Amino acid sequence: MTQRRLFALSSHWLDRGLSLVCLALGAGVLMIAKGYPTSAGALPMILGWLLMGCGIGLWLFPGKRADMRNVRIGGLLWGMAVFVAVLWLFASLGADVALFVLFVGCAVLSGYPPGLRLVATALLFVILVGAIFGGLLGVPLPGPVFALFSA
Amino acid sequence: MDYSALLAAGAHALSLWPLLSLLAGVSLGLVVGSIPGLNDTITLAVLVPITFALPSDIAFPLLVGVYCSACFGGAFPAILLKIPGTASSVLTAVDGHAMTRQGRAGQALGIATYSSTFAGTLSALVLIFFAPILAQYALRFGPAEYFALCILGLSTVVGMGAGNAMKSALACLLGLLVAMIGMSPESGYPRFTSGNFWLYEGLPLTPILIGLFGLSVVFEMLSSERSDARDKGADEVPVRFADMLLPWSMVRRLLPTWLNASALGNLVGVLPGAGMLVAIYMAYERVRRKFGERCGQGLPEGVAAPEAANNSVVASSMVPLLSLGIPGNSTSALFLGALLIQGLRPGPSLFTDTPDIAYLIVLCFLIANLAMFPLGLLLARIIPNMIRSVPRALLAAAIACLCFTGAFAIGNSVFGIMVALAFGIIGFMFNRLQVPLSPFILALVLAPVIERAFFQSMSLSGGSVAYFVTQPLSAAMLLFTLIFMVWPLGKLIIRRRRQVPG
Repeated sequence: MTQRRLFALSSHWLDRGLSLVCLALGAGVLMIAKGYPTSAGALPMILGWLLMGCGIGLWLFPGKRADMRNVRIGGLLWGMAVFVAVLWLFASLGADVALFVLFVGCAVLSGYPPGLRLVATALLFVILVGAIFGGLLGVPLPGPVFALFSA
Repeated sequence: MDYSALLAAGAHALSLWPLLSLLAGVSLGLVVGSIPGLNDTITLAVLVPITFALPSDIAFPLLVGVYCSACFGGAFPAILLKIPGTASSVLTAVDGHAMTRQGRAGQALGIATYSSTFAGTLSALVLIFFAPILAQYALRFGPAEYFALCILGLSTVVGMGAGNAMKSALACLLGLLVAMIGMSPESGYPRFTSGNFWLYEGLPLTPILIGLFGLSVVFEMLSSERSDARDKGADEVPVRFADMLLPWSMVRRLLPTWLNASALGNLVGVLPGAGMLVAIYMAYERVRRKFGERCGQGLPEGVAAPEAANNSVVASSMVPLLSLGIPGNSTSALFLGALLIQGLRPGPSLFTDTPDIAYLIVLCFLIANLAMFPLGLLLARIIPNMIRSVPRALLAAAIACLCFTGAFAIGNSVFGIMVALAFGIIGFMFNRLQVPLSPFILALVLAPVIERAFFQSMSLSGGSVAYFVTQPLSAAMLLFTLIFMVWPLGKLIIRRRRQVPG
């Protein structure tokens, strides 16, 4: 498995990058908070200035421990793709289908061999979740299978 | 203190369902604590949404059980495999594993069990007697005192936190910024909402915590190396039950270390934001100074000190939450979420409005620590072997499913999952960039209190900021705030001067 940095920066420069994000965020907060009435805008204004100060401080005193090495970019991106798909499934088809896809997707992406054993484990786990939430705790989860527990 | 309420809560805590729930929590805590990569905060983040459908007298014993035993559970793999199950058992691994290599694994596990039980029980007693008294005193706090106390809490977490103080400050500011999303508590004016209806009431706390602690771990597992050295390389270490029972001479020898570490742990635990690691390093440092080079070579005190220190922080960190409504660390912030979900109001009025639940919680800490002793001795031999058989890939999948379900169940909407996902990514980036999570959580929770207390103080004083320093208690707390803020700068200057040649 190829191991590489998520960003090709040393920890020193990663912190400096973070300081730039901090400065941009502070400036953004100041710009937005300018439009607020005094009572609502006072604290965000202070916060904006403090964020900018913190950004300058972090640029001047960067740490040495930020670490983006050994990040499997493929795993991270596929993971995010699975999460977004599951989010859509949750809203459209129901929690049962979504959780099954989530379980199988996460297990495969983490290195578990795909096969019948995984499918069976995922099915059992999803049914258990449905039984605990819908049956035992009385928290209804959407989905055709989970509806049986709630009923 | 209301002794009749305490006795009634004691009787209730020892009844069937609360006790079973507590024992289940302790056992679960021991298991998750001993799984590297999992800890009490992750487990509580997953459990809090589940407990909202449970009655309070079953939900809180379960959560308390997990919280008490998880950091002790981390000692099992630390001693047997030299892999700390939780961050709190990092130093236990040093002398603990050295003892294992010398064939004294049973004794090391016994020391960890005795130390954790002793310190945890002592800390629970501090909570039982100190929290109601402090709560009674805190009823007299005005907005200026609350404002100063919250600022003190934030400065402690920045000044005393391990690592880069600038990053702690950044985390703190980001937490405040996230808390500002939604309507202003003072004027009701929407801030940073971009006209989005979902954001008007602010971001929900529990999905944020689920994302930061639960989903960030899933992201970490998905993006890290697939092979698991822990499962492959670790040999099974034989542990005899009889070895874990310490002779009286050993108990007498370790007693001063336990008392020292417990005192330190309780002191650090009561301070909002100071953190468990500070207590552990301080306790271990005292042992290192006393025993010199023998420390790290399998010294029993080297196991006793960190284990006693981390367990004494657990219950005492609940003192500021239960008596003042201010969480002492990330885990007690999760407890705050659980209290709010159950419709309770954490703070001084908790002991007067709902004494049954308040005393039940504090007594559960005592019972959980006592239950940890037999359960710890019983499970110490089973858990490490059990953990070796759990594939990490399935663990990641199970955590992801529970996080998604929990985030959905809180508000019965997909918005909770979206929030959890967003904060899962933020948590992952925080971990990678070494930005601490505790200041972020603390600021997130304290921001509304700070803003409300500030504006109330302003209206009381007719707009004079001097009001904060004319109130004696508030002035004292602001002075300590200043000291904590200057402390990292002082440390930096001293370190730089030492580095100058000559």
